[in-house]
Amino acid sequence: MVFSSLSFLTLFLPLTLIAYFIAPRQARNAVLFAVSLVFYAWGEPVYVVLMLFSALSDWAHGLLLEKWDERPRLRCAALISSVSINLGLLGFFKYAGLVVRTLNAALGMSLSVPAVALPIGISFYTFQTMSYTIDVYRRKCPAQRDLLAFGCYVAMFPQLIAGPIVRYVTVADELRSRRESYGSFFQGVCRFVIGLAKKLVLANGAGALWETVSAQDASQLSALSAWLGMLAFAFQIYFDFSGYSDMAIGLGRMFGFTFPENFRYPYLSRSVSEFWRRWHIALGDWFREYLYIPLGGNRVSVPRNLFNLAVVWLATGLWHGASWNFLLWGGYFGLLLILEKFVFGKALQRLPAFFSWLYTALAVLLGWVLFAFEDAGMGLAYLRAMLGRTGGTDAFALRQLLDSAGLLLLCAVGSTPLCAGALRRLQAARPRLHAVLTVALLAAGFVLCLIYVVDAGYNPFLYFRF
Amino acid sequence: MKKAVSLIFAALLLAALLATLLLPDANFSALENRVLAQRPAFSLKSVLSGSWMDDTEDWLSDQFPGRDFFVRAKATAEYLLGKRGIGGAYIGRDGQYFDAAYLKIDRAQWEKNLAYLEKFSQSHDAAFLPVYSAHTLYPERLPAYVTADDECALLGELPENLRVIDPYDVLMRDRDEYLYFCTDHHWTQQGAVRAYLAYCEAMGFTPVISDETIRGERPFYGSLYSKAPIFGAQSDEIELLHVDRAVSVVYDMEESTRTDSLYTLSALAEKDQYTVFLGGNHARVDISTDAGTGRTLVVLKDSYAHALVPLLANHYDAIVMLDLRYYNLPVSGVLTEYPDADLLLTYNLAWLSQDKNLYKLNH
Repeated sequence: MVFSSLSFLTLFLPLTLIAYFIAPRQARNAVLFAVSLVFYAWGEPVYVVLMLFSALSDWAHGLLLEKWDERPRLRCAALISSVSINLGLLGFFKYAGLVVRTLNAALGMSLSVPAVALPIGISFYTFQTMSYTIDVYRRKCPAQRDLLAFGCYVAMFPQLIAGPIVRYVTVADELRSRRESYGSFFQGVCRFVIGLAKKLVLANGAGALWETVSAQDASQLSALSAWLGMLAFAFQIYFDFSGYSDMAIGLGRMFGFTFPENFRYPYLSRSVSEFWRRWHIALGDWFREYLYIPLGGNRVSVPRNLFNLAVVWLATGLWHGASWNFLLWGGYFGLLLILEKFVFGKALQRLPAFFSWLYTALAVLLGWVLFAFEDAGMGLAYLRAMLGRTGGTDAFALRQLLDSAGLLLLCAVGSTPLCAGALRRLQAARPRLHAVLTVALLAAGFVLCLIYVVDAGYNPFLYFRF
Repeated sequence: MKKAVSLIFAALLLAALLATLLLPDANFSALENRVLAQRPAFSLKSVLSGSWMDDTEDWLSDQFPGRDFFVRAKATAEYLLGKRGIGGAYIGRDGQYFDAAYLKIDRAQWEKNLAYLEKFSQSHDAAFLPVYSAHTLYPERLPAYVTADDECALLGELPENLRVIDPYDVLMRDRDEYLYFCTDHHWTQQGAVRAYLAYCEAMGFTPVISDETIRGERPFYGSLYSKAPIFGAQSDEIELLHVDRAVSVVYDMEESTRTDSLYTLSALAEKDQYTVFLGGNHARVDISTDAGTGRTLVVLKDSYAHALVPLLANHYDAIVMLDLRYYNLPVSGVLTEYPDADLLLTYNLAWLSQDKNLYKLNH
């Protein structure tokens, strides 16, 4: 189930809220766990078993780690076992097809490609459960004995299928005791409606433009069309994903949880390193905490540091999808980060803000070309179009520009903290007006979402592949 | 305040659920011109396959209380953001809608259709009356930078044996009149009258145009409005010319449908008022009249002909109208039945390049 659907908004959410808030406090984890299973099964009736297995496995490994507190070798074995199971599941369900297809192509073999569909959210929940086992191993948190509480952590529907990847230590206390209140519920509603509007109005609108442009023959595409299309893709993926994170954080607030922020206006960044500190923050944190630092981080020799960075960024790329273009995409950013770190980072800081922003925007946009095309030939043809090899502009491009100018303007404003800043200033200067305006905006946003969700001819969800 | 807003939010979601559950399902959306999804039947099999969940989403969306309002509001929001291409229609200047599908010529299908027409015209003496799309007569009303393939160019490619009766000059002469609907892809009665004048001239008939008209009382919002139903759209009105003849019309060879009018006036009370002309789409319509000219006519056509053919009742004792999209019996059977009939093909040009039914001509 996705949040931007009527099944969720008018069926699942009201029934869940009723069940959750009439349940006594000690039963609320159980309610959340049960409804989360329904939520997951709605989209994946069969794979819900896989998710349960994954949760059960890490719960059991956590107990083993605690039981063998004094026996380092057994602890180590338990950790390896848990990580192997997690990566094994991820590897089989996500990457087996890629490996087999690559072997077939490279070695002329004819292995049959396994026909497994990617279980929704597997990349997110395996990373969550791994964070738990590794942290128990490192004694950063005690094992969770309560299977329901642990199941609730893994399956919790707000962040189950598209993050943010919440580390266990972040919510361990709230799993045990949390305070729901009208204050946090109200915050949650505001955040949820903002995310829903980002997804339904901005992401879907930009996505429709990208779909129109990418449906054209790239060898006939004018430069203006190609740039418009890539801009649309950049906005679609940002508002889709950050909108989803907003909705997750908002739903978490309704139930008394505090999830970490996942995006901080990444398109304002002035370097690629900064971009990655503002984009999909939870994933970056995860890789730093559980891969980069264990490899030695940057407290090592320069060659070893380069190796560590390369490993982390290739893994980050591959995490985004089982296709070689994602590896290339990760490698591309790895290279830029290495260059910024060792070569021109300082020079970048001295540049006027506009130029360092422009460099970053171009670098990120180019990255999205790598990201968008699984087929390298098509990606190259698209790049050629962006470089103007097939003409600067044409009627198609100008029509698309006119059709989407309003939307792109909204997207651009939405990529900055302008609105949030204005509201904050208003709150300081005119608190009562701010309160009234907040409620009015909330109501308008909610109606706008209903308008877009009731007639949602085009409502894809990008992060399902991850 | 936070408490009130929180409770109202939850109550609204619940109200939407209850309204969908308790209100009876609507079967058909006149606004969108389509059948609406109904509550899906629950079964273990459909749940395991996931189809029950998909059907539930369709049902919730189609039966959402006040759906028409939301559909209109979405189109309006997009329009206000500057979008002119919405749902397969373009909203142009002066409130004129255009069908995006009619802006394209399908060259591949056109080559095939040319071959069918070639074969047909070799064995039959037929006239062809092209119907132009609104954008050909009113290109200046297209939104900026919307390009259309030139449908007039198709005329030059038609088989030589096909006698073309071209209403273009008459239509262009009178283009300031209300010849095409704003919100529908069809032409108005006045548009069809211009084609009728061209036909009469080519056939040597004296046109008969009644002073008496019948007007629809309600505003008419056509098929293109359904694709992009914005608030405040310029509405159309239906006006028909009275045809002073005693007629008898039978639809699809079913005697029970026999009626004595070329117009289905009850359609003026419905959403698609264009179906007032000869009852809308039918595979075959048989018209007999008291014209007493001794002439008969077989018309092969698309829906633009519905506004034109009633006017021809003044000149033919019998008219058979076939729509090859729906008519699957041999055309040759009808032609044998009426060996001396005049033969008229009348099609919208863009549609003629796309129609996948022309092979039936030679059956």
